[in-house]
Amino acid sequence: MNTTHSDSNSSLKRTGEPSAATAPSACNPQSPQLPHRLAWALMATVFPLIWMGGLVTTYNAGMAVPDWPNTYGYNLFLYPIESWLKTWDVFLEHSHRLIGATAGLLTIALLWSLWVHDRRAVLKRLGMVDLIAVSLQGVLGGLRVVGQEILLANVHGCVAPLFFALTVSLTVLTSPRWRYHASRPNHASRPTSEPTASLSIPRVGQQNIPAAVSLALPLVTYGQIVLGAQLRHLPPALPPGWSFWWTILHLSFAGLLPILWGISYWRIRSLPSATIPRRWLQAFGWVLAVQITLGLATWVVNYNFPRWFQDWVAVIPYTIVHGGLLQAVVTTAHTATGSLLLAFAVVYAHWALRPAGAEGRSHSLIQRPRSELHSG
Amino acid sequence: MFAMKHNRVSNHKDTADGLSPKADGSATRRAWPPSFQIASHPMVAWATVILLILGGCSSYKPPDFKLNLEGRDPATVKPVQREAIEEVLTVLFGTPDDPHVPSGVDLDLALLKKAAGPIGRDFTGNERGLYRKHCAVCHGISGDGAGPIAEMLNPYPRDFRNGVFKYTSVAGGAKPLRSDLLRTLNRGLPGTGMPSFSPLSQEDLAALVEYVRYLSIRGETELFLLRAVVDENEPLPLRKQFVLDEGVRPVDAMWRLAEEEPEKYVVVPQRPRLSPEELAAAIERGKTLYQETRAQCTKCHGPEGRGDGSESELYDDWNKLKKGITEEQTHQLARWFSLPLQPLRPRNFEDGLFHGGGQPEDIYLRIYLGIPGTPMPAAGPAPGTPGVFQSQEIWDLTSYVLSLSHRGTETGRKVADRTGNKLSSESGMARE
Amino acid sequence: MDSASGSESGRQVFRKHTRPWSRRQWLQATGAPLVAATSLPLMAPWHYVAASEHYGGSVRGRFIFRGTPPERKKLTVDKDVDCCGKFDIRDESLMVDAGGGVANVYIYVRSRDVPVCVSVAESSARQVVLDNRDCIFKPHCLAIWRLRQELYIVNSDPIAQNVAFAPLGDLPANIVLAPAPGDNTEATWRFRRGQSQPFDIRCNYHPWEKAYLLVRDNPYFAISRDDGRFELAGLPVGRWELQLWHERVGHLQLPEWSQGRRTLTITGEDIDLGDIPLLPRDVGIGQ
Repeated sequence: MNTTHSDSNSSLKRTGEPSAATAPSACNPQSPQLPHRLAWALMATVFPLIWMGGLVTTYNAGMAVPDWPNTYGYNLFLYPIESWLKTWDVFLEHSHRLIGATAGLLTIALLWSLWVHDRRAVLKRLGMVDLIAVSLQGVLGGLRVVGQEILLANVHGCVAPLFFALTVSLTVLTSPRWRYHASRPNHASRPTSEPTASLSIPRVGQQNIPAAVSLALPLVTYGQIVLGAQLRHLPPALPPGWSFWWTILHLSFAGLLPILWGISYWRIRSLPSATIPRRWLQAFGWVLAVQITLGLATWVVNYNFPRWFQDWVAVIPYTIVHGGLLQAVVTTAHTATGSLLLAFAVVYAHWALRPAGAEGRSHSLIQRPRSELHSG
Repeated sequence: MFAMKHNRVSNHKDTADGLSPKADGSATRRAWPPSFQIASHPMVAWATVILLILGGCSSYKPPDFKLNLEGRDPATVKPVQREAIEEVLTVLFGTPDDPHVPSGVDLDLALLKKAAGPIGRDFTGNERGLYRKHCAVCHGISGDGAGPIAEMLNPYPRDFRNGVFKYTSVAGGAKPLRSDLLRTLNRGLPGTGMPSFSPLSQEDLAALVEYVRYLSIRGETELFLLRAVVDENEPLPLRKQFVLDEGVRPVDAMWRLAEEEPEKYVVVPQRPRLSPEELAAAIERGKTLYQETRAQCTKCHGPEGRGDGSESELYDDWNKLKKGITEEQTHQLARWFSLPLQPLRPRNFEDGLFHGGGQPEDIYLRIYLGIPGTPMPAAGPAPGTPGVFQSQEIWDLTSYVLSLSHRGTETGRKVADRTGNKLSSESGMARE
Repeated sequence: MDSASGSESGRQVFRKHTRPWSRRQWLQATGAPLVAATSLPLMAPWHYVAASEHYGGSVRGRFIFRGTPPERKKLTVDKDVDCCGKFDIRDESLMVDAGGGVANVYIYVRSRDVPVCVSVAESSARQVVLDNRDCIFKPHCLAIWRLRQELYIVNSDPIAQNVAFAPLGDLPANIVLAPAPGDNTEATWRFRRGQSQPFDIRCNYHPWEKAYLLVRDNPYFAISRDDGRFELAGLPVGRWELQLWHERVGHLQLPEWSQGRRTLTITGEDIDLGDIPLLPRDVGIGQ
């Protein structure tokens, strides 16, 4: 994790260097909306896909179809509808595959549109990464079936939010608003060696948001998803001690996230220029609240009320229903909301770490020591 | 790793477009890049490496039954003994993927095959692996009650290998009927991690019941073998016939006992129909019975039924073994068990939460038969024991116990005031 | 339980085995597996032999403690203090009398399929009594020949008592006995399976109460008396492996008794093993 941070930081440092002077306006504001729309479509496909995948795991239906890439010997798209709808777990698994295939096709379309309509090289690269990720994800899912390997199901479950986050990132980067801010004439060309240039202006953009905190939010959220995935894909022969520690970690991360959120929010609460990241951070907070509630509910619908709750709060004569609607919806919602939370964190991080566009006056933003900022 | 890459890439983009010599508009607007460019992309390399690694570990390895070493120092079991036990158990009972039924044992192999094996369907759409799909995460592959999430649960999942089941309808400690296990699967155990499996089909449930019986019979045979081979140094190699005669058959016979002699072992509650006055009288009588010393109800459940009796340190049979006399001993013992010591709490009747079900019939059976594996004794008559209470008295006690449910709340009091029939159905418990 | 009628029916069972098989027995032996498997644990795998042919002799001896026996600690009596507080309840895990005799050592024939001499069979009681008296189990150590004997459990205390045990592979018991005098103070229990070593009997109401019970498929077992003496009576002719067991250590490891085991040849004479010395470390003291 440390290396991750320092890596990101160093890249940020690099970005802060005056060489950004050559930055062209990122793209043509008049360019078609197609990439953004496709990114939206992809996002709108991937989120249900994650739900479906979550349901597959909840219902333990990952092996309902014995073969891959075919379904019971049929081509994926030619599997008869009546068989598809006949059995619940087959329905889940096959639907998951169908939506997955759709997501794959949409990713190809998105990459194509980026290639044709967007000038930004990095976006093209991201689009490629997205395509690789979705292919990898499909192959992982397939190998999990072919190899009957729960570890692959685990990895498959961990890559899904990454792909989703990547798609979200593409959606942000292709959005008109982002491009609008990017295309506003900015002062990026001004060398950062002129601190006064930025400090003389009180609206310092996102300067007060430390990169560590902004990056920590998506990173910890993702870590939390990975921990959750460990609890969701426990190999049946695993000794009980493991899940105990996974749970402890999962709960600790759950406690860490509101703290991180609080720190981030406190840092930008009064920055007038930080409107966009602040809004996203607020949204993140709401989703986080929902997610924590869902997490507690997930515990109850799977393990029942813990002993301390029965002792100190209330005794509720609740009987878990295995595969019941409540259990399936709550547990799966917790999984899916985890990805949603990551998406919000990613969007927030984009805006928080965004190089000075319209509002910022400096490219050095994040890394500048506070003392320097206040020396003026 | 992905997260890092992603962040770096996107941040890179944010500001450093201009840094990249290829990133100027004209360069990127060029045609589709040559394929070698894609192939040499670090992400492709990453993906390839990951896929290769994962591909290597994606061959299905069938799990094994784990030798029951609960409470034993594994070092005291010689490898040759372990092998001998595992071998004879495999010959008799097969493996988790391929169960066998020893000749003459009352188990349905077709049902077992449905429950055993890895999760999934074959090409004809028949499902198997039901046990692993629905049960193993708590009860473990071997039925040891130490599945991956067992430690989260209170009470722990049942260890089937001791052949003791808490909620039955059979007297004299006899093994549960298939219908008893089915009832538990159907209804679940309220307030515990044991869910109701009611959404499953009857065939699937029957297969699971059979598999639980299989794991239990296998488990008790295993205990016999451990006793014979490890504790008693039975000469090796083991003769199959010896294990069959002295290990398997007696266990099988005990499982048949109640199924074949129901009139002797099975208790069928016949709930009396009571008018409100009769119910009030029954509750009064029940209260007297509860407080008198005959069955010592108050010892554990407390004078008012709040679960606060003088017996404070209670453990079930699975946990009793983990309890040393001193803290130090308990700590030392813990090394040889899969799960930490977990104390047992007597039920507080005011909560209205009864793990074995809150219907009057359920309470009646719990008082009558006791709860095997726990300190809750059998108060009703059984073969050989006259019992401290007779049927009528147990019904009175049942009425009293149910009248205590939710006593603290207004609605609870109303519930308790209802007539005998209502009393049961309104007591807040899951119904069959 | 009427012991007179009990022994009468017992004798009938015996005679059945001496006659040629009846039709019912043939059915049982060869009939449907269901029937066979059910009756298997009840149909004893022991065979009866006439005394004149195989009667061998007895094995006698005495367990002597060499050293100073530790003081028997007073046990914590914190339940039913009104009734139980007045008794001097002490640890019974090592009972040494004034002469050094060690009580409650089990000695039993470990070998399987030992023929049972009719005289031994008929002289053994139909019931083995476990009494709840003075807030402890009496006796502390019991043994039972399950094919002929049943466990008779009785409460003599004015408080309710509980008897709980879970023999390996046999049905568990958790019985309440009402306070004496009165009804429902007794119970009988039959065992469906022999055991290779004793198991403990507990009272869930009174944690200090503990007893041991050995369930065997043959009557060749003895528990040393207060003076440390024991007698395995009426062993048939043959080579039999004996087993020693003590509650503090399980298998009682002694010189000449590896793992508490020793094989003796019974030829027709009684064997006196004399004094068998037990050092403190043999019973787990000072380890």
